[in-house]
Amino acid sequence: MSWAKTFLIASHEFFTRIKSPVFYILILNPFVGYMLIGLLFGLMFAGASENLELPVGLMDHSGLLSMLPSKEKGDENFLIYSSMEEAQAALRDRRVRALVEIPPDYLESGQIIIWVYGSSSWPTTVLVFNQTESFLRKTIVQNRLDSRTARRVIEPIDGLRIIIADQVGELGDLDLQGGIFGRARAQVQQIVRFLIQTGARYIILVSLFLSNISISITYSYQDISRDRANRMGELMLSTVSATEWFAGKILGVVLIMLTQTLIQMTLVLAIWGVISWQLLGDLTLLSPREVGLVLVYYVLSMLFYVSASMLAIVVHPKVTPVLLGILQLLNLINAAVVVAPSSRIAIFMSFFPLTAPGTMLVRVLLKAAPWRDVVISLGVLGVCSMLAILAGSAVASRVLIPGMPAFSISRPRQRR
Amino acid sequence: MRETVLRAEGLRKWFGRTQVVEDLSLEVKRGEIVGLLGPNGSGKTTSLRMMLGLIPPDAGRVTLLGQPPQRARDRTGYLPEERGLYKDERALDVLVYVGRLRGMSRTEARRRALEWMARLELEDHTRSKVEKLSHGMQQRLQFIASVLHDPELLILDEPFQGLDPIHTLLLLQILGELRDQGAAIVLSTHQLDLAEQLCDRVAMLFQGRVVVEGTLEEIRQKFAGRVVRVIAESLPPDLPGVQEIRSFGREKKLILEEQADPDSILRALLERGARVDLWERHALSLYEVFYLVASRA
Repeated sequence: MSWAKTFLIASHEFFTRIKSPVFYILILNPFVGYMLIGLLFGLMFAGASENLELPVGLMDHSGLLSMLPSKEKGDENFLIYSSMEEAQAALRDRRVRALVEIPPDYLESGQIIIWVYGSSSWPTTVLVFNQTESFLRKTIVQNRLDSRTARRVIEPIDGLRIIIADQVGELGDLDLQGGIFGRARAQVQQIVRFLIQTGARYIILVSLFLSNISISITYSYQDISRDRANRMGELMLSTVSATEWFAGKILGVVLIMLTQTLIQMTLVLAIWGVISWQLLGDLTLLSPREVGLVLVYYVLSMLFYVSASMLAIVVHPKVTPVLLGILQLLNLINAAVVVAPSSRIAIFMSFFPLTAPGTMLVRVLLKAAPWRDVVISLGVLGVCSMLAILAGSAVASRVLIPGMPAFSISRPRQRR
Repeated sequence: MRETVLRAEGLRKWFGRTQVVEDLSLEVKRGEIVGLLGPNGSGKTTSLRMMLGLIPPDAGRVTLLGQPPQRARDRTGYLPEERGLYKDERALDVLVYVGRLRGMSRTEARRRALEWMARLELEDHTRSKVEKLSHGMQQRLQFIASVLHDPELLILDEPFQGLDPIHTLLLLQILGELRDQGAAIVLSTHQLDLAEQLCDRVAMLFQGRVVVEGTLEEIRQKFAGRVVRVIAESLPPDLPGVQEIRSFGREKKLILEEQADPDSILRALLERGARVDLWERHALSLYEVFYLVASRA
């Protein structure tokens, strides 16, 4: 096998792609997607803001509010009730838009209960949650209560660690009195802060990587189809071996996708860095070790998926769409690993050739991939990629040379 | 003694239950043009593909320049019947790419491509996209892609297809020059008059088998006396020894059966009282040989 010819084919594919406007459209595609998702969130919050002028009911079973001087209890956003029946009646009659119930064990559990009505319950809950949090901080923390109470108040809901102690003062200044736009800005700031601190950049990178692997499958299909449509198969296969041609095509797609991903990652991390710098005062990016491991995995993932999709394309033109659809599906279901990256299912998917690349990519990003799993899955991927390349080379001529049957079984029979 | 460039021995190929090529053997020497002739579906293209190693034969063996075909890729040129170049790329770029795949440096490939484009009157289209070129221009471009690297063996599948008479003559001249420079050339074509002008030897395929093979002279000799030009009044249709009568106005051509004696037929004709103005043994063209072979097969 001549590597010089393989690299020549790969570079030809690379430069053909990079000259195409589609390449740049696909680079920006995820960012447009994120913007649309952001817009959707905005619209949902706007829908939840219909009754924003109504106050929120507050029923305190913990005695927390009774610790305050009476003048500090007032807030036009909240109506404090003394009985649960009265509070629920107010919610039923839509005199309040939600009811926040502070249970007796709030200081221990950190849990509050939010009662809401209507189809926009989730955004309403988020808004109410944030308002409650701010109210508690503003009215309790700033009154310099004991440290145990203050610590609890700044972490009002179990599992959602939104703020850290040294930012209490800053958060206490959130303008909840500034009308709808002031409130919306405050909400957005809180959500972005939440995303940064809970590591949502990993989720964004996972979605970026998985969508790029899907794009690489499409690229593979386009590359083979281009040679087939231009009837280049015979000329190419009289010039280079099927293995050189196949490997060159795969390498070309991998190179272009890596370039695309590198540009996208730079953009993501730059935007993310600016936002996190603006909001948190520091840069929360990936560590060099994470970047290195992710890069190695991403290259191998791409290599495997592109090889497998090329194989799917050259096996038989009629079944190509079905096989590519299955590959796309298997790639996208890897996103589910985000939910439980160390579960048994995730470990099984890490060693199953058709899901191993995507699953391990997600697990590595989420720091849930022990070295043993990395080594085993890399071995599986390496072997399967080689097999896919060899199998693809063996059947390539059947698809690329016009007039050749896709599958033929030679039998020694006479023509007539 | 000239070196054998291509040697094919006992090639056979089946597609499913159909035998496409049956026991094909062929030898091509340096400085020789061999024509592979035959009707559609006779197995010419499949034979050429096996010779190049594009598809493996089910039986038989091919060597190019003493090596398996896969090892001689950079020393062979191929013009496929199914023409194809990247249509959205510029003509010169495509040629340079193909040249580099054949082992040339970028500079050398570019220099040779420009020379050949000038020779085939495409010098004004170096920057044109392939899809903007006419069918004939694309055909010439494809031919350049096959000869750019000075191959020792050139395999051309229907090289004259789509060319106008001027460029057909130009291609004939170029192929003659390549032969004189020592290239071995195998070509398949339907245009038998061109094959007659160009080929040193021909092999006629019919339904996967070689039915006639040899130099043009050998073939003509073999079929000499099989066709008679006749101008005669009231030619009876059932003359013994006559396989077919083909009419060209007043003149007729009698195609005789394989062992028939023209003199006996003339005697029989005269005995039946026919008036014969012309009776002449006809030197066969390749078309007529081809027709005879096909009808016999």
